[in-house]
Amino acid sequence: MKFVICVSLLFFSFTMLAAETITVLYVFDQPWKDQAARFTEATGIGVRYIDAPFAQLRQIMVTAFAAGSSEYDVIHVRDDWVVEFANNGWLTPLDEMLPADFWEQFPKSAVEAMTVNGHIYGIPRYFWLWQFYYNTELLQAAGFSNPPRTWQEVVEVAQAITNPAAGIWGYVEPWGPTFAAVPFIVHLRAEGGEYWDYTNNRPLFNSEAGIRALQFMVDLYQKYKLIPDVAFQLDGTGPLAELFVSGTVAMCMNTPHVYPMSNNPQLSKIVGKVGVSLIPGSVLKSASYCETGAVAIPWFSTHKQAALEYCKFVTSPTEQARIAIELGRVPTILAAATDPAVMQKYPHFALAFEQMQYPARMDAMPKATQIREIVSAEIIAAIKGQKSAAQALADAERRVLALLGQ
Amino acid sequence: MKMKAFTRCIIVLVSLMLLLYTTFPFFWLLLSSIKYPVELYSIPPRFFPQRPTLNGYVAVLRDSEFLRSLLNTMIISLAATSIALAIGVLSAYAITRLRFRGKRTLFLSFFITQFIPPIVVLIPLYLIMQKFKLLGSFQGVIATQLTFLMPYVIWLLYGYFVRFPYELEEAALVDGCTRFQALTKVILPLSAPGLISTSIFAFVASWNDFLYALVIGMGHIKTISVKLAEYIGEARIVYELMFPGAIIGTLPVILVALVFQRYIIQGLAEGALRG
Repeated sequence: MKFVICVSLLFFSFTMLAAETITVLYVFDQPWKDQAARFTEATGIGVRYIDAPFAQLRQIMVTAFAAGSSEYDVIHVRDDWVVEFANNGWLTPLDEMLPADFWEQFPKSAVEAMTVNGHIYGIPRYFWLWQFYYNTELLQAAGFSNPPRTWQEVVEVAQAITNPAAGIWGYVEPWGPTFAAVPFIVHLRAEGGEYWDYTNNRPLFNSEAGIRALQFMVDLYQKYKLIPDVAFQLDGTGPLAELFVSGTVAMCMNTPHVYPMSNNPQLSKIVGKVGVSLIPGSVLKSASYCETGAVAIPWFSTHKQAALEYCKFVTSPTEQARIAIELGRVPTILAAATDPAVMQKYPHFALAFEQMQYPARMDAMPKATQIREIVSAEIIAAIKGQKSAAQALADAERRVLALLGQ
Repeated sequence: MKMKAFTRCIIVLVSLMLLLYTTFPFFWLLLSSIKYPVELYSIPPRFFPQRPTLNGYVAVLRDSEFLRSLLNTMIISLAATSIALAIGVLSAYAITRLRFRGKRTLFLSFFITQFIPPIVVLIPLYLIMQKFKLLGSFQGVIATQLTFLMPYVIWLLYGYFVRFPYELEEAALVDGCTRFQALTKVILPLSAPGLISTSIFAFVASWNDFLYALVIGMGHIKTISVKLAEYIGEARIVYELMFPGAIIGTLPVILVALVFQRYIIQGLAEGALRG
């Protein structure tokens, strides 16, 4: 009798799950939609896929969650969103729904990026990692067969290549009004410093390492005259990638899309001439900046179990490898990143996990956007010679603490 | 005589410069829409395309979702404009002609709502639409758009109605017309330029709406502005589709403006004199 009841209950719950439909919110690229269809095929759980422009995802979610909407069952989060959403009580803690060993397949840093107040709120599905990209032809023409390994070497190589009259620049960073803080974070880490104390929620950038890092950026512009003024208009890695593939920039730090973009004849003038290496270092051998893309379940979801099945499915090594091939996202599971088919198409992923060994965390504290704007403004002021590096960092720290009410 | 010719010359020159200044971005967009992406990234930028291509246009016009978004925008803009105009005419007439307590406050409140940023009312509107199960529907997007279209329409029409000779309306009333008949048979036909220019401004405002279409439309009812924003991806901006898409998305509004340009100018001139 007990057996019959158990079987009936199991059958009933399976039927309930199978009849369920979950709502997933993410971008419109077809591979993500195809993935949702594969999930339905594999589990019988229906997916209502709602797509939105990536730049507006956060706005849509904030509006829905502020209104207590249960419209979405699975959402996309990244490091800074997860902090904001979890602190507002908008996300379901996933560590309570999944066993501890589930998280061991991901790099520790990726899980940490999704952890807020001791709970894990997102399952990492790709890395948007900064790596060092260089134009092999321009480097070879200047007599360099290998990419630079230190920032001082970057200066030497860039000096040999830069020719403003010909519109060729050896090295360029994005110093846009809301973005200059990001390359600064990489330099700061290379100098052995850190940007933020996440335990006490306080800035750490106003340090000896910080001053050295910022002085280096100032020197790139003022002393070595290596960076063009257009750098102050580059408010992200996208516009810099466009300069790189146009063949006018020899070296830059950028995100994984640069490799396929560089080798696409429709978009690029440097097909077959792109190399990827570890980001150069200084005190540390290397340092980077990495956004972690993850799936999460809103607190208001009424289909949490089915949503969890979806999250597990899309973050599985097979699915991550598939998305890596189709969309060029760096998988968060080593087995997927080193999948032969992935390696063949994106050999630079081989270096991604090595790059991740060095500090790379995205700035994801509460009020991260406002803080980044303040720090960027002060960094630009220092680069343009309006104040010293030390003064700029002191001012940035004072303004950030005021913003945080400390 | 020479002085007059010189002044005329200056006016023409300044007008041409203004024309160039205002149309240059659109002209640049048009040229960019027929360039290959590799040329779009070239430094220094090239003005005219080296090898013009219509590939972007073909790709966009083959995208059923793009065409659907164009149709959605048309449906929403026409419906929102018609409703805003129908209610706006009656409201503006009532505020202009009828005497009732709080009339001035009511008009001012319409006026003030135009200064409220849409983002401020987004969450309350979302809640209301959620309550009435209108999220992700045409009705929901149209209803939210009316929150900014209605005050705009009422404010514009008030400018036309307030200076409309009362004697004409009075004559109609004396001849046996009701107030509604006086409005529909005397005032509205004579206010045609004002009505048309108001409709066009409302239509354009609705066509360009992004925030409400994005959040209330919830991806189900995608308008052209939302569709164009999708080309700004996480990795790169797909200029080769975005630019042709923007040109195609602008064409209906340009056509409407060209067809009714006489009324727009007349309406603007009268509104300026009357308002």
